[in-house]
Amino acid sequence: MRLIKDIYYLLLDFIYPNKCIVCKRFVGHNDRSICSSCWENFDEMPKQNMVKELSVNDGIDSAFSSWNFKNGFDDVIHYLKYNDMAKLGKELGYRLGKNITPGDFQSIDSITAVPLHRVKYRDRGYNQAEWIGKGLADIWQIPFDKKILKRNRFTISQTTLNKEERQANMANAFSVEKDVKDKSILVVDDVLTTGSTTSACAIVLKNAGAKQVHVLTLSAPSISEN
Amino acid sequence: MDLVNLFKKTPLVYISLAFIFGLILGEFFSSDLGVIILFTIGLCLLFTKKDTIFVFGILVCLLSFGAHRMQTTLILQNHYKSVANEFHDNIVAYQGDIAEIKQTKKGFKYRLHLFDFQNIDIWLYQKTRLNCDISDTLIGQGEFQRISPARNPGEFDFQSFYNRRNIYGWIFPDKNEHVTILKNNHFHFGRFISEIQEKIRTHFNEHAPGDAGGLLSALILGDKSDVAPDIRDSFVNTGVIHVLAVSGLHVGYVLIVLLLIKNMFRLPWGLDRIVVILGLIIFVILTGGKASVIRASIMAGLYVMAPVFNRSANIWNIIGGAALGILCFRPMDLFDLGFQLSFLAVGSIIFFYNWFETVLPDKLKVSKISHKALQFIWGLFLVSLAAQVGTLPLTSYVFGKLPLIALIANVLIVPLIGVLVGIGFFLLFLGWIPGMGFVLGNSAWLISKIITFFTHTFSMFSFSTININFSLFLVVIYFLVLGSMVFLFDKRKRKYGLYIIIIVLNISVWKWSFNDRKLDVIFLDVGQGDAAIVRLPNKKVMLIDTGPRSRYEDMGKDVVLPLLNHLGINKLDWVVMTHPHSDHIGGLVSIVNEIEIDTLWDTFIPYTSRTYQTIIDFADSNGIIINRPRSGETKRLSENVYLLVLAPDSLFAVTERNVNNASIVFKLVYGETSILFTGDLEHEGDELLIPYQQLLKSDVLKVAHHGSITSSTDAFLDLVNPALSVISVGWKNKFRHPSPIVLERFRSREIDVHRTDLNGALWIQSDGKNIKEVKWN
Ligand SMILES: [Zn+2]
Repeated sequence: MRLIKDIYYLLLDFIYPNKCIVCKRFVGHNDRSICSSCWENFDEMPKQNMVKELSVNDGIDSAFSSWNFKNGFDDVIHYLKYNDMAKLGKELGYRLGKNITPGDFQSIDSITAVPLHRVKYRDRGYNQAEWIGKGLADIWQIPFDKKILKRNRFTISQTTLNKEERQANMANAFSVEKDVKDKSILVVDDVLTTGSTTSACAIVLKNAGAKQVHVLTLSAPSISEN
Repeated sequence: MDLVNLFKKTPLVYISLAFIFGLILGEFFSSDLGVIILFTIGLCLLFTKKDTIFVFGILVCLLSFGAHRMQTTLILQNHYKSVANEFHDNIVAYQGDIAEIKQTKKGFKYRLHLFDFQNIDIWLYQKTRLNCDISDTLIGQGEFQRISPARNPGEFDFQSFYNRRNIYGWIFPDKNEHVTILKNNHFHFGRFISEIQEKIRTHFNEHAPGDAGGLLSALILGDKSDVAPDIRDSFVNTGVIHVLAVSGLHVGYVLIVLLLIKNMFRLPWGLDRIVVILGLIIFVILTGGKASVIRASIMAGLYVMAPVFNRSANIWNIIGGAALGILCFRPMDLFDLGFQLSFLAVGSIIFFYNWFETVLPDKLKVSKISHKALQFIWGLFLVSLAAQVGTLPLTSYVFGKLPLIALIANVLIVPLIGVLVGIGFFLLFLGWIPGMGFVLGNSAWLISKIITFFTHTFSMFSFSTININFSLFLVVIYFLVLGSMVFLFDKRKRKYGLYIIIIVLNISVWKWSFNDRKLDVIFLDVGQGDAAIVRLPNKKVMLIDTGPRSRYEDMGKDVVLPLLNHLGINKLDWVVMTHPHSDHIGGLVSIVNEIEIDTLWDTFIPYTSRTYQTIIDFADSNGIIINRPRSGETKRLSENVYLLVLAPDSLFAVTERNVNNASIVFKLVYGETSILFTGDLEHEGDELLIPYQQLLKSDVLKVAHHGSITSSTDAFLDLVNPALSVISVGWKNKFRHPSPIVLERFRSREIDVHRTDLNGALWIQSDGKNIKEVKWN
């Protein structure tokens, strides 16, 4: 089995040489997209619940994130979102799931992702948050269900809005499609900025009877800069 | 950087290069043992621990594989060639399945796959359309003709071109020969495809009025036959003909359409690209599997599949992969112009576009232009420029033309073609909706009107095309200079640029001082007739006779002018009409209109024919000097090239009734070498030359009167005593030239004979001391 895998990666590297997506150096005959020196270069955040630091945190019980949005990790996110690299999400999910474990949360019954709007999904072809969630589910052995949340409206870009406008923008953007009564749900996304998107998800989940709502993202802008 | 890392970055580039070197090696060396030894060495290297050696092992293995691939292909091809030679000119019984049906100028040709006949394909000629289809069997009898190789330098080599496609000959049925048709009632993939092509063609012609239907067929099916000739010419003259030949560009447009369609199906990520792959495969099949389409489709396919393997695609590596993929299955494509142009174009677009983006000032960088429309146009211009920079030497070398307007024309035409392709696809799928068909068909008409307006307007600028002679030497110099430019712009590598420039200067000086003092003589193959081009060491040119012209053929237009073009000759300093028979001067009628002539040589004899009169009138009204040389005169053509006129004697010529005997005969002398031109002189004329005795001695003899029995007497041949003689004669001519008796006279004197009917044109070169043959095919 090991041998077959080695041969597979050897052949694959002839067609698609395995270059690190950040530094473009050759990674090796394996399934990793980012070389170890780039991983070391990323700014890993201290493992701590950052729900208090979010400017919008209604409904969120705890929030974790793993890498600061700098030192090349910003490139990684860009790759994940715009280069048709859905599988990179799963790979990053594995890595995230090793950094942060289910034990860091009070309890998790089910994992879901912040959904993309239909139009955006069609343009991009995939929802990167969903693939991160799949990676987590694989490594933690906790069920992933992408159909728990549904996006109803196309929300306009958040960056130009202030806090109140963002909340208004987000209200009723999501709805719950599955039974979440008395369950603890982990909502996954790629980047956690103000928390308004995840908070909107958390509020509808709580309204539908969810016991707890936790948030986990790959990255967040460094706190000092925020 | 170390070799292993370089290899790991784009392995397929190096692997395909090794394979290509192997193919070239296999073309020159045919030793099986060599290949086996190479392969064994390669294998041994693979079992070493060291990475560098391992990489070498891979490359050596691929090299030997390429050599082997080429050898086996060549052995097969040579075998088929010899079969074709063996049956050449014989009546054969044939039985084969139709693989292709094409309309030609003179009728129809059917590509038959002959199962009983060594598995080769042939074209069966038919004057009228038979009631049969692809995959039906045809049985009959006819004369077999091999596909003839190029007859003259610079001519398109149909033999290699068709042999690469496994076609080795023509069969011409006798006039009343009956062809039996056996219908095939089973499903046949090829027929199915051709029926779809036919449906698409009629669909386009029904819905798109005017020229649009033909253009759409050309763009989407790659079938240019429906495009009107004048439109095609205007595309050629403006250098945008490549848009009509289905190519990588079209695959690009198809890919855009497919990506749009992909998103309309709501397939899960990963599976969604099946739509793209299937679409590309269908497009390749519909367009008949041309190298450029396969190249671009492989590249597009590898590109969209990369994310499925969680990798990103490296463009150079993908190019290498496409080359390797095509050449593994069709190694002879390496020598196909379409293949070469396709890879050269895509390579230079990527390389030079990126180069422009780095060396141009910021204001001119595409990525720095904020105005969207401006950015698009400038980007397109740079892509077009980048493509031309790389392909220019090859196209100029092959076509002898440099369409300057192409740069601007491409910027306008290429996006319009893209729009037309888009409309074409919508018309294909939505044309059946009543209103849609009308709207789409007419918008296609409008776009094609705009396109043809541009190409017609551009092609009116006659200065837009320059005739240049791009020799292989110049191609090398061109790329060296280009390389030095790239280096000179890079501060760290500037010194390499300087080295290259020094090397180029050295080579040029060396070439100029050694190579340029040669006299070239080309005896053309103009069928039954004479024509020879003499190029002096100082590049002045003499044309001796111009080939025949008849209702069916015009050798001046079809052979002489293209060759002059190919050689980059824009002016004829002397044109010699040895005598005014039309198989010697017929071609001149077309030539005088196309090329500047300084002096015309004519005989004394009065002659009245339309052809002759036309030429003389043209000369009179255009200030061309007419000279009438006579025996005994010596002409100094350049520093050390002399010409001794041996005939006609003016008195003899006027009294002689046989025009052939009035021929201008002269000996061309360069240093110690000499060539004797005899026109159509017959034995009465021969006798008058005998008094010249030792002066007649020449190295090369242009045999008089196409080897007729009435010329080349024993006494004459003994005096001339050439090492090589040339008989300019047409294959199976009605005069039955050359005479076996004359041939025997040459054989008994051990004089080599070159017959243009058997071996095509002869190109010889003299350095003043020795004469050697120049291989041109
Ligand atoms: Zn890296």
